Amino acid sequence: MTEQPAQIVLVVDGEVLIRHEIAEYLRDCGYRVVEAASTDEAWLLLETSGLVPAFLLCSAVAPGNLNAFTLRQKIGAALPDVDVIMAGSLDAKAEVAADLCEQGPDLARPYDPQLVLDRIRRVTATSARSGISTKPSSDKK
Amino acid sequence: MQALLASGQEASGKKTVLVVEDDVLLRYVLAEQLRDMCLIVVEAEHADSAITYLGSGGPCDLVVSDIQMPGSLDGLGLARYVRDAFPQLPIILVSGQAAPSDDVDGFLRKPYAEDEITMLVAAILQRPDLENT
Repeated sequence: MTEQPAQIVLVVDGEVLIRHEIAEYLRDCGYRVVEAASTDEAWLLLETSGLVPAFLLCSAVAPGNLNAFTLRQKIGAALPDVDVIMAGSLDAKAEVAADLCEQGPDLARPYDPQLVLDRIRRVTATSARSGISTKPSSDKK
Repeated sequence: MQALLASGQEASGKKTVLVVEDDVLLRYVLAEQLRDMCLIVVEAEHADSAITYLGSGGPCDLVVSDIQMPGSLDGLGLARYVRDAFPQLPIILVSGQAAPSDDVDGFLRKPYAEDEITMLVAAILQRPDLENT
């Protein structure tokens, strides 16, 4: 029997610490995960790379010229099979990731999604203490 | 090479590479190549994002950065920050321009072949001084 290719999840989030943790969690669940730091990056990937994700997990406040809701509309029109999931708060993002994990190719969650939340909170607090912003830069070329 | 990097490393002992590149298509391709080498890859879209990650105390064994990037620092500025704040952390710079005069662990001129970057990354990560990082 041939092995099915892993389903693709495109994670769109402007906060590197959150994006990385969510993406790694989903990889551990057996997904192939592609990351975009803005809605513009997400749209460019979808338009030019030939990627067709099964799911797109998008921060409701992801940076970019397209707002997240416009991105969802554009994807709905161009790629109706892509399931676009919006999440606002950190808790909601972790919950969506946990739900995706339950539907995912591996039978069990690799670890409790609460650990993902705890880790994100810890690293963002460390960044804040060291005076480093976790907000994405608005500077563009 | 993939086996070489993976050998002797527990899943939890995987090396982490921070890729800093503002072109999402180039970043995606490079990140996938490095994940195929059994490496954990952190993707940063500019130097500010890379510094946020490094400042969080997240694991990092190597930085691969473009030079021309938007944001408060370009790749050369990021290399100087890394040298000051994390002197043991190696950095590879890539650019379509000529090699910088700055002292870095590796430089590749774009466009580079897949083998060039994977061999350079593997060589640096297997340096004896970085084996136990």
